[in-house]
Amino acid sequence: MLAAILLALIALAVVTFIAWPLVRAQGEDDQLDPLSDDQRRRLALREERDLALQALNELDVDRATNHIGDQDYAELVAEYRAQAAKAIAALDAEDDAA
Amino acid sequence: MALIGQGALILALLVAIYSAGTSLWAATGHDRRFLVSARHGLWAIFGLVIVADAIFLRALFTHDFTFKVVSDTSSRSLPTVYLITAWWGSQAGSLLLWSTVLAIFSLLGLRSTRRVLGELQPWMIMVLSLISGFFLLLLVVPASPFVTQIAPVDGVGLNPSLQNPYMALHPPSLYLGYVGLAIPFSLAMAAMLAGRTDARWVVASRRWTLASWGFLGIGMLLGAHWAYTEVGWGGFWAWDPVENAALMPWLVATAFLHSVMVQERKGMLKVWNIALIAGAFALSIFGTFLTRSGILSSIHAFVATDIGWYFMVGLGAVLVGAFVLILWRLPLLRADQRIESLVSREATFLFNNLLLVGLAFAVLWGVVFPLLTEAVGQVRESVSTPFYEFFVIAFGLPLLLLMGIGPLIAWRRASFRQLRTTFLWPVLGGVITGAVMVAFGLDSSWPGVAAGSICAFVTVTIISEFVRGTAARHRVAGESWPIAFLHLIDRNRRRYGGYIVHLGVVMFVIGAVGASAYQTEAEGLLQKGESLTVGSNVLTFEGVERERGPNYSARSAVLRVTSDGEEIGVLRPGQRAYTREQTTSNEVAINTTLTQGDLFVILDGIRADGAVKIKAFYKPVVNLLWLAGFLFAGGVILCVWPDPRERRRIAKRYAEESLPGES
Repeated sequence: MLAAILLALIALAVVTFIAWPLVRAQGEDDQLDPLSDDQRRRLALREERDLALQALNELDVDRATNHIGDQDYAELVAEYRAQAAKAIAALDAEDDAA
Repeated sequence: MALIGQGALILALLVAIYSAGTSLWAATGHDRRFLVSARHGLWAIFGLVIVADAIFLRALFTHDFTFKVVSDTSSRSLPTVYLITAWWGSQAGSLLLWSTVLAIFSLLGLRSTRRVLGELQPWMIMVLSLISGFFLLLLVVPASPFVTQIAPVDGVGLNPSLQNPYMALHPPSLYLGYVGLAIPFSLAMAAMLAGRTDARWVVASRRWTLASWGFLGIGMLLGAHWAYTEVGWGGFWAWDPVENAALMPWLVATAFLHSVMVQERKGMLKVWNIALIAGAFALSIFGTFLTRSGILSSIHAFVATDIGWYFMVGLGAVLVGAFVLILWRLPLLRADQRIESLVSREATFLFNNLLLVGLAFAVLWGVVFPLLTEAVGQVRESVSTPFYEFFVIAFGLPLLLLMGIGPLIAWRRASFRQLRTTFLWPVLGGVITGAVMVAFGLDSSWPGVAAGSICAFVTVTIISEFVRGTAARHRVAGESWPIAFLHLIDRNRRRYGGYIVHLGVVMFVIGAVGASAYQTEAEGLLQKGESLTVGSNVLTFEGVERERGPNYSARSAVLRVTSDGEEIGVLRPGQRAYTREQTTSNEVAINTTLTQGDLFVILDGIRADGAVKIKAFYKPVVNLLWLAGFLFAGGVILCVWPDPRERRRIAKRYAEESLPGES
């Protein structure tokens, strides 16, 4: 009997605890904002930009530790600079449009 | 008390279903209140599982044999420390431990990724609640720890093999690894459900995968040491299905940890990475299924129930769910770039992935083959050690080689001229080591020579990486050598932590090769005063000793050991008879010398006339196997340690978009 009462009390506490957020009145900040398509696109561009910048950093490390030759280094730096510039230009264009 | 325990588990199951539902509502209805309620649900599950744990442990420690599980896995004479290990000695107890760890990890996982997750959090809670619900269902229906009975006078006792200090650490470590994989899995599924397949889930899940992978690795090593010192057959890895159960998710998680670097740098392998993490988690469920369904006959799978079907359904849900989500989100998972050259670091990672997954499949085949033959032909045909050894050599040696090649090749591409410079010393190291091994007569095992040469190649590679990096910092930043070395590691913990893990793997391989390819063994029936020679050691039998322990009686052979005429000491290999459990166990005797290896002695039997049958092994450099664990753990800790620079970089990207980022 005592065990059943204890169990009932535990159940009551659990129900109160999990239902409490739903019982209170809805506030203005209760809306979860999903990402818009624009935000998704811009995030993808920022990721692309960051990948290119990170690659440039790694190229510097690879060169300093003698993992990459001068010619490869020069070619790859040019490629990644162009990639980063393209992403940044696209982001700027989006900002201007906004 | 059993009523409260069972009631708490039923309540926890209902709350898990509720949390899954409310988090789904929060994700689709965009209502934060439902998200908070679902999060409270995870806290409630945690509290309820702790209540169940407390009641279960109380029953174990008070010898309350009205609980069937308690009487099945313990006895009044069982030493107190093994009452704790009895927790996971039973199917129900181990599933309760699974649920407890999952409840804790769910809360920690949410907390550690709270700032990353805008849209992902409700989906993540939903997936975690479903996983929790699955394990709670097992505890409520087919494997309840709270089944009661009329109390017997005493319990059956615990399997003697589990009465070992390693059993206090080995199973929990594996469970931490198995359960930990639920967090990256839930993040990956959440990312796809929310349509957010950018690198955030990867960054958020990497440390959890690393930690889980580390626990699995350490758990396997502890298990290997337990098998070595306790099971008493002379080896450390028997390709037991339960050992394989931990190895498979570890191999797949290893592949993930490497391929994820390619995704972070090049935006490639997105589908592959999600498939890998889903595969690793599915294999962790499969591993639990193997150990707990009783489907396999092994020392671990000692309980047989109908729980297997539940596991099959759960496993199917994980695999089908992941597959459907990948198909649905395929357009978002397209690669941003392509591999530029086959001679690049990303290409070596790709080869490494193929080998790791291939090896995992080979092990999986070895595990399921006996089941398939039994299902089809009614006769179980097992796969023996040579099958596994073939694949370990065929896949393992190239993998080891790639561990040395990868760091020497730059990302994107490498020129022949550059490769000649970077490969020179490591190749020399490998060739010289191979030549020295042959010169010292170690060509009795060519795989051994190959492994030794490759280990030297990898070691020189790693040392040269530390030297090059330190020299570059010293030269470019003008730092002193020690400061440059410390900054080198601190600024790129993941890379250099990874190298330390690789050193641990090399050390492990050397230990494993020494203990298997180059071990010597001897056996003989010895009368008092007679000797047995193994390697340079001579064992002289001096008599039999008897001893009585708390729940066993033991007999051991007294063997005086000399090496090259010099006395080393006395070894006492023995056998224990457990009265209550009505079983016996071997107690091996090991003489360890760090510089030379182990003299490992087994008492195989005592004849009525007092003669003893002795089996002895000499295992050179076997201790490197265990020491490797420290390097492995150190490297993992270094990798897992939070890197504020990385966090700031990600936070900046999301702050620019006015989204909550990691801080």
